[in-house]
Amino acid sequence: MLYTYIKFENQTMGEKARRLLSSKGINSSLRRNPNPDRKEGCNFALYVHGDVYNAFDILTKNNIRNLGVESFRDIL
Amino acid sequence: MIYLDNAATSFPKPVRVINAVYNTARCFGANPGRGGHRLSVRAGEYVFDCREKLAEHFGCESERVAFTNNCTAALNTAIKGVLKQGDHVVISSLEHNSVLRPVHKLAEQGVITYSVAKVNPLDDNETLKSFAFNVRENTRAMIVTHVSNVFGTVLPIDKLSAFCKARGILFILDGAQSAGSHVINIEKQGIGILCIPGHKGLLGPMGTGAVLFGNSVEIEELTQGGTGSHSLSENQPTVYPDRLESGTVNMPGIAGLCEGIKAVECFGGEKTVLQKESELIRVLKEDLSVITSVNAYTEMQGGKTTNVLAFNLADLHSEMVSSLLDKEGIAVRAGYHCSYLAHKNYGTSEKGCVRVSTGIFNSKKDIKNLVFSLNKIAKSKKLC
Repeated sequence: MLYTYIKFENQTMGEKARRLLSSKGINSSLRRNPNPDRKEGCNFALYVHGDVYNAFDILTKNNIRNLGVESFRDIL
Repeated sequence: MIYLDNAATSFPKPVRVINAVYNTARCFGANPGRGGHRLSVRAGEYVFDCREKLAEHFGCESERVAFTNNCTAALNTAIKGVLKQGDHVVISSLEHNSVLRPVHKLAEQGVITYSVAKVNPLDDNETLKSFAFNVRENTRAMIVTHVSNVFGTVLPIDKLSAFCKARGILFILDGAQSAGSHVINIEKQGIGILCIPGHKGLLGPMGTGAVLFGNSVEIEELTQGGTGSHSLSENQPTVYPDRLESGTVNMPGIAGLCEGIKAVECFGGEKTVLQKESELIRVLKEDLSVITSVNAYTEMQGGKTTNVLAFNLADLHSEMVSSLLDKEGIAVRAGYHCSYLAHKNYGTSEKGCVRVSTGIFNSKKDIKNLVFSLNKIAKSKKLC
């Protein structure tokens, strides 16, 4: 299955993003990134229940620092 | 016991604070921001709740709230994380040792120089002039206590921050005695960095505090270590709050602090809290005025509203008075209140003073009992 999510450096920024999106009627859930980049190490992934790129635009407009949108195919 | 030492820490704590600490430790005490399991994520959400609450309350972005163990740690973070070789700072003559000592240490190490601006409690313009007089070309920051922990003197922080803003000087506010009883807004009041304890006016547990800062401020971390982020880098992350929060945070304490802030809001907010606490001080001032052997330092308050009153009883050492009051079942703080500067500058170095500090749970009955006990002590010592 292909997962697409928005990456955050820490839970603080991810949670801030989740609550902002929630205030705009967009549900999402924050989890540890299942596929962290070797350079970045641990980080968090926000799974958006809906259009992830629209959510990304909202976060960008509201200056919520993030590491961009990423996809991950779960081979399990 | 009648507790009148709320400037040291507020007591008792609201039940909701106690419950939050208990429930956290019992039900979801996992390490926040670290693991991927739901307990850790939930713990992280609780920490964020408090971060967001503080950010809303004090007017900054939530990632610019970094938790510390207390206000002293917050002040050390601000002072040592901002000042660089060759900088000069101005501090007030009422600063607590939590400001004086880190500043003095940096000066001793030859990193910075500092000046002390005399506060005139009766004339804010004179205070402002004193600060202005001490500013130099290389003045990087002004570090000011909002409310004196000894005398309850309220400093003119809006005027001082405006002065700093006009000159590009960073304004660092010590909110140890004001957070929870005075409205403070970083953005609106032009505060660069605000340092607060969680366990005093905000009614949280001990072991909590925070440094909060505006968007234009950069603070270098004092400690490096695990943050749960950028784990494959040997460098400390530059993203806030991780940069300033190495190691596991005091999660039960932070959950309690969040409830403490909510309790302040439930009591009607800062203005209502201060009104209630200062009314008790007004009653105390009135009642003490008829005990001839009491010397209350009311002039240090310059007519401003406060929840602190300092006094001495004739020539008795303040520690003696405190000890006698303790026997009467009354808790006050005597001595020098970790504030060398305040006592040195305002003539109370010899015997310190007795400090009464009211809290939201005190009543007029507590004040009447204090005055009764002081009268009793004065009579027993043949002071009146």
